[in-house]
Amino acid sequence: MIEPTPALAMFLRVALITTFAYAGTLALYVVSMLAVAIPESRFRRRQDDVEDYEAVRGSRYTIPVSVIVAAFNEEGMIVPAIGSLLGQAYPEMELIVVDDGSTDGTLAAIDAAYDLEPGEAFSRENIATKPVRTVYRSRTDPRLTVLVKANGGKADSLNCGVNFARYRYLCTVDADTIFASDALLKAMTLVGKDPERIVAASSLFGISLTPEFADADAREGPRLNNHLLADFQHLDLMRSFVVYRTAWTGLSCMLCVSGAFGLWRRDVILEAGGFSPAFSCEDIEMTFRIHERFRREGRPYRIISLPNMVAQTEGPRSARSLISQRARWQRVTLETIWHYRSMLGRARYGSV
Amino acid sequence: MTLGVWLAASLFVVVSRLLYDHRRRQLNDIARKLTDPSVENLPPLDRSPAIRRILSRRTRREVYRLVASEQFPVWLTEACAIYCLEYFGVEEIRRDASARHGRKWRRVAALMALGHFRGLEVHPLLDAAIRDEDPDVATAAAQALFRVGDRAAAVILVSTLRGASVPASRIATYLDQFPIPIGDLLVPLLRDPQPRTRYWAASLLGRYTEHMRTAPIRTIGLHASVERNPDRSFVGQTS
Repeated sequence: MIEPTPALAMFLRVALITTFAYAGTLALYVVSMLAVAIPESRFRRRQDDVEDYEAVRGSRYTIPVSVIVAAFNEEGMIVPAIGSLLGQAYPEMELIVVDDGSTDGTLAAIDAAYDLEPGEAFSRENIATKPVRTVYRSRTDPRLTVLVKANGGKADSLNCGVNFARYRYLCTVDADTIFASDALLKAMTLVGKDPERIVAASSLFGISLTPEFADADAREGPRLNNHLLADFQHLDLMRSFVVYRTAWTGLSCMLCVSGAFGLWRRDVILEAGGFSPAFSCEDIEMTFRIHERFRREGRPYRIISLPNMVAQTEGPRSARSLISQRARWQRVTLETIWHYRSMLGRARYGSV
Repeated sequence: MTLGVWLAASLFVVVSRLLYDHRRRQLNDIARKLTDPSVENLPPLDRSPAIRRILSRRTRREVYRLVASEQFPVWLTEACAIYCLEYFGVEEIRRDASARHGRKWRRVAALMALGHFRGLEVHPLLDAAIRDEDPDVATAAAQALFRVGDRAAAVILVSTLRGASVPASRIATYLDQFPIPIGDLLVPLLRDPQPRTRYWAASLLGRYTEHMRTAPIRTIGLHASVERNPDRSFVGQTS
């Protein structure tokens, strides 16, 4: 048997201790988050259980919502996504699709499905964006407006949608996501219970290989895809939403209102100056910006994660693209944390 | 120390999950029995004993959850509320519904049970609950008042348009769908000093053309300093 040199033995010892310490810390963190998430999750479930959704569904006094979809080269998914959004069981909403200079057949696909015609729409120049080339209205559904603009990135598209939005609440969603028919109803009913304080909300969504064919209304979430990567991503998202985001809600430090389904109060977005094109992940940055602003000014607010499965979205189909996506997420999270590093350890910012 | 925290947190998580699964299973089991076509298709008079048999030996927590759940048809929650009345007694339900500290969801369920009982002098209790600071408690009271559906309930709901922890849009939803005409209760609000109250009154009166013809409608826009200093919350509720 070969005796390791003292240096190698020391290295192995340090490596082993470091690994155990890392794994132990991670396990402790996950279990602590779970322990915090349980009461919060129980509270939200009970709230959901007693909520009178039928009354809200049939009401002419529901708070109207502007849904904004930023689309760039989404030819394949855009029509089912719009279909699921226009099929929302919500009394009053408008849908603004912002085509961010797509080079594929995104616009043609929407036109074929919803019979677009050039038209006009009221807008405010609240946030500077790339110019809008054409405004289209649907002949088949007056709630649908399509804006075609010069390419400027997702944040720019969302800001453009904010300028055209008529209503007080904004729901920013991804163009490759299919929504359950009660997604907006359930989210807005709970948000509408405390509109003074709740400034943003998000909810659960799952991963499906074929969201356009999946049953987004399935209460238990999507069925297994029989695809290792897709199922891994689904489980990972559930871990993130059910454990971390629920716990962060309980601790009043939600770190990300997801771009796939985010509800925002429009006045708060405008006050913050709109989504920032300078950051790769505009949703995380906006969440941080709201925390920073409200905590600095000592204003009461809440950003929450709701317990309902509201949508199914596409995930990367290959290991390479999954790794690249995760690396990007880590990078943009660190980028945002670094930008807001002045908040760390300061009593004014509390748990954030 | 760290190991102790980890073990304690893990134990809490596992026990909570087991308890949750157990309670969920029991509730699903009761719900399945109650919504079975053999019970649902019975005439109302025969249905109550069948429901009573299913609910007997169930804990108050379980029965309350059924009463408060909006997932079930109204006849079922009503039958469960009647069971509560028979087995726990109205005083017990009143006590649960007026509890100020702790057991919030029990309070919510008791309030919703009270919504099924007309003529039991539940109004003062619901009036106090709808003014509670907790939006869940206040909303449950609003739901119960809507379900009671008499004139006294309407008076309470109309009065909360002036301000409560339930958003005015939700109160307006219930008043808009209220089972009896309430136009005459809304007319005095047109002279309210708060612009948002006048807005809600005018909007709800849209259904009552006879009152709209006679109401001093000009006061809506001309009162106080509405034009010069619009109230932010007013804008928020109406946009």
